[in-house]
Amino acid sequence: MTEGKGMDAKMLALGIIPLLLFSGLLALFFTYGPVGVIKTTFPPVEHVAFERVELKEKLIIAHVINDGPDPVTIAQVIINDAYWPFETTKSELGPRDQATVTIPYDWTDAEPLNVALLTASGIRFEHEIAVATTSPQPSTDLFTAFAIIGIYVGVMPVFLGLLWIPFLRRLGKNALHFLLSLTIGLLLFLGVDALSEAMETSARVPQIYQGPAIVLIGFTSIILILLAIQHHSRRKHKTTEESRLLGLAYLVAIGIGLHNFGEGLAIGSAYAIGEISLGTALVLGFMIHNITEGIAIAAPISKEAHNIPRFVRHVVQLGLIAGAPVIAGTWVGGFSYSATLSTLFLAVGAGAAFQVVISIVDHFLYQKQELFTPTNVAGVLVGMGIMFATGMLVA
Amino acid sequence: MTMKIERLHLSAGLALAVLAFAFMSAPVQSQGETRAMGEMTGHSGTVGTTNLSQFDPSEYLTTWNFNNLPPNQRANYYQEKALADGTMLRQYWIYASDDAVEVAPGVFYAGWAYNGQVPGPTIRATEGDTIRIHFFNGGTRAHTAHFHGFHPASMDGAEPTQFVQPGQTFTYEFKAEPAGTHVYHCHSTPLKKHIEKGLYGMFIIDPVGGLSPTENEFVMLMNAFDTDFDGENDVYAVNTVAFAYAQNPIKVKVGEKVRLFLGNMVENDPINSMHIHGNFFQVYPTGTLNASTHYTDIVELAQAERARIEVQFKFPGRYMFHAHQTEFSELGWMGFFEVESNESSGEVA
Repeated sequence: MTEGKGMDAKMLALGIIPLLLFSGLLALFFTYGPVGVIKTTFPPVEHVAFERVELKEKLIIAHVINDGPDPVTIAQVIINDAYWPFETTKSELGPRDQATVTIPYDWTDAEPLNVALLTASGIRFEHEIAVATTSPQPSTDLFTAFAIIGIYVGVMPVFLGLLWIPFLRRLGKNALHFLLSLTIGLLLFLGVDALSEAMETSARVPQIYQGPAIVLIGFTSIILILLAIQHHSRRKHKTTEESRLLGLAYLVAIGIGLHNFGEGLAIGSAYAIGEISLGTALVLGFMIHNITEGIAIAAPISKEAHNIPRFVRHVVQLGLIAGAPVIAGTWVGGFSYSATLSTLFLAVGAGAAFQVVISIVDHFLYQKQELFTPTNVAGVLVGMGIMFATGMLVA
Repeated sequence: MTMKIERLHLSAGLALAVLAFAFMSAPVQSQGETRAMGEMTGHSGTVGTTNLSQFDPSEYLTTWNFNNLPPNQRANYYQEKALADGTMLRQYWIYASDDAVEVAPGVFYAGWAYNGQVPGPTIRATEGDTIRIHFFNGGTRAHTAHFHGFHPASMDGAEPTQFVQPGQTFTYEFKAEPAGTHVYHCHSTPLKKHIEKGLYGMFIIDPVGGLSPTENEFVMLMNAFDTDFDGENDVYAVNTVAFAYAQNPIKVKVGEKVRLFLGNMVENDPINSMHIHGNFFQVYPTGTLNASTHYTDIVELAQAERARIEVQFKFPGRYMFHAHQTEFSELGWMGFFEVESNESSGEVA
């Protein structure tokens, strides 16, 4: 690099030669390699995944994808062990091709429903609906209803939690540390739980979308991106204790917001798959929980408020960042539930929770505070303990 | 999605429950709106049609001794010669091969077949005739042709020493007896596999002098296919093709005697049945005695069991017939008789 232009051309060549050789190698492999021999030994690998199944009155609509390496032909449809007439937008599916299969069928409300496709080679791919009920269809009413649920569940409880700021302001430093540690315990618990949920859901992701990879990418990328943003803003702005704490509050809000998107998905999809009572229970549960999230956001900025209007503006923004994603989550979950998206959001939510933990620890270190003080340790343990104990109460 | 996470969140702030209830005052709007398609939900059934030039279930009903083929072609598979004692020598050229069998429209089962069809060709003789089967194994595994009926042990085709290896031939020869409705099938091992793959067919022996005359004789072999090889059948049928006679009903006339040679070669399920709507029929188990044991509208057959059935339809119209194991019925074992009125019978409804 330091030796002039001639060297650049040479470098270019050095870079390109291995590439050329590699393409030669590939050509050689596909022309003379043993692939053909191996392939003829095995029958074609057929795989079809159900992305989503909608139920309407006397109608089943299945959205399917060929997520295997070979073409698949949808030949027949079997509903609850009976062949049934159907229409499909496409019957010969190449790899990654999608189709919508429409089946007029008078399904029975509140009973399980088994939807199966039979391919030309006789392989059966099944999708089990645990409780059959009409899928919510996008309508202004329902859109609004979900938005209102989102506001109840996300926005308002977070703001309520933020109302504790004046109270927290009057607490001493130790109490603040305890609350921050409590937040760590809470988020560790949520993070691990969301991650295990993500792994579980990833099993239902179509093969080509590689469920476990989605978990890995969603989980790590949100942590890294948030850390990089934090790093960037810290270098750019002169960091005062105040702005650092404010930054931390925003990070907590972003993390919780992403997490709350997942909550919205859970609520929306519970309604979508017909578990109305579950959906309502979720609304109540998330609502209660999100008040504690408000406290988590409030903790770092409890010493703020030198400039009241500016402070209020921040609080409003924080509340919206943390709470509003629930609304979007209910829409996505309610109208287009898919295992792939759910896995991604659960993983992102888990990563965001862990990132907040990292940030809080980072905050302690930056302030040259001792990490493992009895107060802090007690805070983390109590945080996890609360989650565990209340979890048993409603088990 | 997430029972656990839900529970967790439910639990997260029980202490603040009271506060939360304050927010629940406004009712959540119902999302019950549905879009009715105005679409009729009809019968179970398959979509499309099978390739009839490959195998025509309607033709199979009335085909025995290759009588569906033009004489010059027929001679390749069947030849008959009157013997001095008044019986016939009937020779058949039967081969086994690996074949894709279309068991429902567009669904191909990787089967093993006699003469490229499942069920295999129906063999029909009169009691006392000499049956000579020139069997060639064109498949990839050892196969046999094991006939139900009297025969010497050397003609049984069930001992490993009797398995006909790929590319080999064997000639089975025996007298056709007793009169009745029988089956033949491969008896290579594993036996279940060789039967469920499709190596079976009907073997009908008429009594000397023949059965009571009728124009309406139909061969019906109930079978099923486990197309994904998971131990459960995915397609049920009579004569292989799901819903074949629902798409092309069997045409008969009011008051005329309809004789069915019914057999059951279903694997994976121990029992099968046939029920005819709106009518009752006589059952001659195994067709061996000329006496009906049942006057009924449903007959049950275990694996490889068979019966001769005689029915006279009382009224014109479409009459469904199907397995009364309703699962089998909706997975393909269902069809219709199309009964036309018959002026000469005087039973016009």
